[in-house]
Amino acid sequence: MRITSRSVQTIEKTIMTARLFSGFWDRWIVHGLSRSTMMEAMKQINHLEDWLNYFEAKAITYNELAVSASGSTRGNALRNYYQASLCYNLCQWIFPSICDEKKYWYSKMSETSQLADQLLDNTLIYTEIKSGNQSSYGRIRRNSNTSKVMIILTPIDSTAEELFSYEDHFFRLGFSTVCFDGPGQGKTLLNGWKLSTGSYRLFLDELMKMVKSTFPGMSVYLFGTSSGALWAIEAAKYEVVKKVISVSPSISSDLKMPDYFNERVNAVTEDVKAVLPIVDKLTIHKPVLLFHGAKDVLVKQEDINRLISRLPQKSEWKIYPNEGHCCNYKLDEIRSISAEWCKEGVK
Amino acid sequence: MTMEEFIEHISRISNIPSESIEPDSSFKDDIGIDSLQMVNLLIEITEKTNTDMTRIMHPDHYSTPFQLYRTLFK
Repeated sequence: MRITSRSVQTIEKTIMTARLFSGFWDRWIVHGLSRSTMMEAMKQINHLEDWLNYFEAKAITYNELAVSASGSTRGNALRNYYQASLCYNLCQWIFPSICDEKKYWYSKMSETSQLADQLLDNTLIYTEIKSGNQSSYGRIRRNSNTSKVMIILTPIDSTAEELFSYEDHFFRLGFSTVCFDGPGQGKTLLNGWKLSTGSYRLFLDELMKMVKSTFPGMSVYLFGTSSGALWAIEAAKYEVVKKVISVSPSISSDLKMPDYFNERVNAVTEDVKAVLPIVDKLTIHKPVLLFHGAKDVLVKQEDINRLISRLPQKSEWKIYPNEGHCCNYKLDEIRSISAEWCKEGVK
Repeated sequence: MTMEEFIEHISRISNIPSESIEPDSSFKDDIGIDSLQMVNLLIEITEKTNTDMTRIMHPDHYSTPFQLYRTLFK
């Protein structure tokens, strides 16, 4: 499958944004991309070829560092493999829709990520869940010292591998973790399952059944950012879920997204008008810990205020005055607060 | 394209009256366009004026309507 001319236009817009706006890189910095890499990329990348050459060269360097560290320092090897995986992830991500090149770079990302996963003391398993004739693919990290499970619902336009830093942090905070590519994401998309509200609900049904049977009797929590945060609020309806953590839920009905991003979402959806639940129609069944950045330009403060007024008892919220969408630079703190809240409520 | 026509384009895309847009106004500080609006403005203005977006290499190139005009049409 070859890259379409529409995809080429979207890529050009994406690269223009990447070159000019440092905020574009926030999500990648949060996942481990260094600021020096960002600065260098902003100077050097003008076209698709530059993007691929730059991040492939970075990935190869990180891979070599990982191999040389693997005999001595496991932590360094792990870190470098994940950096390499992140760089290959950027190579596959730049292609908005399924094409041969996206598949090629995805497989490079996946291979490298698996090399890192092999260093995780056999705690990680890869899982497939069936929903009718479709499948979704994900990662379960079993923590034998706990009876708590954190399901991470990833935002549109991301992969489960990209959120390794979330998974790893929650694991260290004492949770088993579950993180999947839903419809329209990562491997699940590459195998043909696109996003719609209907397909995501089917996915959630099977995900919750799987979690219930894999972790019987355990306390299950949901953690989501952006669109994942909105789905987490809806998924509070499942009996197995105890509490929900929702970071910057994409609740505004007239979300003003960058042009290139809207085109990227169009490429992975069945119906672009129906990709997210409508929060005003949801009954919120479980306590929610809500985080929002006051400088969020995508989600309006008045929409957040309306959501807060509808949260059930025992819910809590925190507004960061200097954070934008996804509260990217407070996520370490947010995960730590969330872990405490899952135990006993916010202090 | 004249500077006045260019400002009309900016006005239509950003929903800001053209009277409020001076050639030397700062997009950020005077016109009040945030980074997200700026991304969309740059994409739309290059589409509508059929100009090459890869000419915009640096934030200085879009600091004011005049700088952006010069970058795209010089």
